[in-house]
Amino acid sequence: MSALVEARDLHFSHRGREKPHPIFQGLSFTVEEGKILSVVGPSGCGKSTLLSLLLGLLRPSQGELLFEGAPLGEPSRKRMIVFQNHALFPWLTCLGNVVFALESSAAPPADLRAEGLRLLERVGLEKSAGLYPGELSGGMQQRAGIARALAAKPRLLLLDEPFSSLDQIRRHQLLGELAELVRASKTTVVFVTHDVKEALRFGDQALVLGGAPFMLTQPDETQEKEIYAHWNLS
Amino acid sequence: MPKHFFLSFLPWLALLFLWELAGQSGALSAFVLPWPSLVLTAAWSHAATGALFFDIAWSLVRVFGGFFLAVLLATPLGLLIGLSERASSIFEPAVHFLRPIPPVAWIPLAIVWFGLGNGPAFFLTFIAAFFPVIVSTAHGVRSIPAQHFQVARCLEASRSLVFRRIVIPGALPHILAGFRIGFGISWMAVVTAEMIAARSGLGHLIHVSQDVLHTDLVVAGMLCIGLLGLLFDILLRGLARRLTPWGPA
Repeated sequence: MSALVEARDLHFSHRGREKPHPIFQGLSFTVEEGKILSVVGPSGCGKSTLLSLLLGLLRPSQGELLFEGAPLGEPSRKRMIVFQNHALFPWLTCLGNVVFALESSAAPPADLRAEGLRLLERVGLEKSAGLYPGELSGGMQQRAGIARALAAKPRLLLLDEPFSSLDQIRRHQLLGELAELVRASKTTVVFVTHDVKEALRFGDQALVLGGAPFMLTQPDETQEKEIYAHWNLS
Repeated sequence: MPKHFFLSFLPWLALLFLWELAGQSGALSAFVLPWPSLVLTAAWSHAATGALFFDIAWSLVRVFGGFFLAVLLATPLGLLIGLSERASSIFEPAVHFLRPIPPVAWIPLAIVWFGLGNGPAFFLTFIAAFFPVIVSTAHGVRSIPAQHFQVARCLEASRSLVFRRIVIPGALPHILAGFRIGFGISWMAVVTAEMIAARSGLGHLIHVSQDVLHTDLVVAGMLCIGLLGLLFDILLRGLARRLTPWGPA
């Protein structure tokens, strides 16, 4: 299996008022094609920064970040994100949000509406196509965000703490549904969370940030203690 | 219709009743504060000759003329200021310098530039609406969350699509709020302009009635201004609700 994303000795610092604030100092990892990489870490460890780097919204100050074997460039439809707050356009209906992604394409499908409905059907939202995001529950908004992202047919889907606003039971249920959905679409996923159990359960690989970052190539729930110990939080 | 629509009339009806009662009982002077029945009689007689409708029509023509011109110029300029840092650097200092100057302060210059008549009134209603619309529009564009633009960037959406699907609808609630504020100030400005520099309109009616000591007509003119202002505000609110069905207008 080939690596879709490869980070080699990545350095990144946020510009502070007086001096740069280092976030990554020599981070290396790979994301295998068609796999789910969980990224877990405490608040402020650089999870969202990593997503911005993977989107191409930020540039590493040192090191190499490769996508499809070439240096990762400007943001593109090949790498889509579903933000923590979903970032759906509140003035567009559920279907309108998906259609926006379709019509942004260089070669949009002839029947935008039909294609949009087909995508909503995939996430179980076909009956809510005419509703505005404000009329959807948190979970439904999340699925609408995923449908919009999938409309771009990305090779890499980035999920930024997608269920942080939901309760534990609903999170567990949606996580299962999401895992099925992304595996069925054969999309490579980077899934950011601060929940260790979620990261270990959902990911084919796990990148643990905070302190000295390390990769778990075969994560399972027994490694939870090991991660907390790494953060000195046993 | 709002839930308590009819209830909202209750305090007004009570006020009118008490006002009328005070007038009829002799507690008020008909000259100092004419009571509702006197005001209605004066308004009716003025309306019967067609003069009241003539004044209302002229005030409306001036308000709408200046307001529409302001909307036509201020909305695109506001969008430009909101979207472009360069445009903001060029135009915004001038906007914030001119904005606090009340429309009434422009009257002397407006008379010098346009003479007496319609010119100053159109100019004043234009100035009155221009700044609220420009400031609200620019603010509306800036209030669109950065993540919406990031999503569009990732989707490689064209500039035209971003403008049509994100910028315009995203800023629309603020743009419409600017229209409402601008229209309200235009309405105030037209009355002032007509009191000083016009020979028709509700402002002129109030001014002339005061000169001939017809305070009943002064109050009738004020009531017309209030009622028309309220009517247009309700219409603009309805329009905003219709145009922004996704959220509170």
